[in-house]
Amino acid sequence: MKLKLEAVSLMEGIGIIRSGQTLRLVRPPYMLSDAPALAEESLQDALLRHGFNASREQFNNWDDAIAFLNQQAVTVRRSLGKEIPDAIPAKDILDVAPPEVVSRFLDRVEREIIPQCLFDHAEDLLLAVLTNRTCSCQPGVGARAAGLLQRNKEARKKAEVRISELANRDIRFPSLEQRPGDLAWSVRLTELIRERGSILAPAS
Amino acid sequence: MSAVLDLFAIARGNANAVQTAFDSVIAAMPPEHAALVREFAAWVEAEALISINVKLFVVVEFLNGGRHQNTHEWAREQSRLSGRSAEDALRERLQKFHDKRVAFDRAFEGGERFRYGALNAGGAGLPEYAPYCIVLTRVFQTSLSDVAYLPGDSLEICVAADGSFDVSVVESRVAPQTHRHLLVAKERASEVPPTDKPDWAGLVASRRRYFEVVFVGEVCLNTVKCVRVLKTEYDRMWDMAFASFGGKLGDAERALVHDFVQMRRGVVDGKIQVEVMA
Repeated sequence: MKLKLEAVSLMEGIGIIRSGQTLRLVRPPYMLSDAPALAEESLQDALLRHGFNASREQFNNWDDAIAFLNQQAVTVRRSLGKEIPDAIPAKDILDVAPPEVVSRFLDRVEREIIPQCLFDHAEDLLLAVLTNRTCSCQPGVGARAAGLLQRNKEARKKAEVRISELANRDIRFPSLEQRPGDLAWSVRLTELIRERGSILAPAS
Repeated sequence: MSAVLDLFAIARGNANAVQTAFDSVIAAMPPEHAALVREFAAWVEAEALISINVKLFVVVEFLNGGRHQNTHEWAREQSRLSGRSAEDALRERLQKFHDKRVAFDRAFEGGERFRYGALNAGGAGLPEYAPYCIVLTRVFQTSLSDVAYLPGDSLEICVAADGSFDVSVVESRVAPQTHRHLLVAKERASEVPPTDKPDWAGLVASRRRYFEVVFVGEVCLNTVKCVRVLKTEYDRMWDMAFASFGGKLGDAERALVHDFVQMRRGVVDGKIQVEVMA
């Protein structure tokens, strides 16, 4: 099914896309769960009131549509001399984050980032918080970030121990050991493969 | 069509008619309801300000010294940048809605300088496509000499689907600055008594119903009282900012986070006030 871009906010890479009978607002970070369905008549509002541009672009899939929207944001901003930075420094974000947001960031480090074993990511973020002058002025933030850094370190150590154990384990095939005939055949097959240098049998 | 009508003169000329319409609605109500509607009108006069819903990059433009652009100003800028005519840029942008837009704007003297806002007495205005509701100062509002108030979207109530413009609707329904609160109270009179006072702002503007303000005047950072944004949108932006710590954002996401950080910088530096609405 073709996707039709009905309107686009070029500067922000936001599109109003028709998929079948449904009109959707497709916006960064481009998740279907964050693409609300729209009333048909609201398309007029977008164009007449809110600076969207009408479009006739069509796409075969969502990936193409999203690539187009991203490209529009880059192109239009560049044409106005406003390059999109390659990265947003953590310091810039933390400098302007109010205390409740910093607290929410720390919650997510605790509940999402460390349990997902993204230890470097967690460490970078926590160090950024700890070294940020604005954050360090917020009561309790430094102590909590330091505690999470310690927890991250311990979780990393545990994960490394688990990986190390797995790597050093004497891996056997218990089911073969329970059936001696199979084990003997497996050994003979292994020798055969080694002799001919191939797992494939010679062509007859 | 030649531009012959003066929207603002029509509005000023309607003052008595708006007053009469309000009085007759009040006269037909039980005394306790009439008293509430009068109280509502006074509240609107004291609280409601002009607002315009914009996208985030417009707020950033303001912070960087820019000014609000209406559709015609945008088209003229496109013309300067690209060399094609402003009319072509406008047609390309609006396509099938072009005729409707220009039918209204070109029916009036100076219509291409019109800005369209909505009366706002609380809340984030019309956030569906433009989540940042800039609320203009009372000083700015009272300084306007060219301003008119309509009981809804001018293009819905004055322009038919075929693009034809009905001037009689404007002539009968537009109100001047001095009588804006009476227009609002008259239109919502039956809804005021059953509505709790904390919810009165919703009678002035909600997602699909509002009082349009048409005015001529320059809108920039100095004219902004505050910016209102829904908590859902505000949290969405912080979530994207959080995701940027992992360095995995696409171009448009980075553009938005960059803009959001600039807006927050404006807040921290005391240049702009942002109110987050539940």
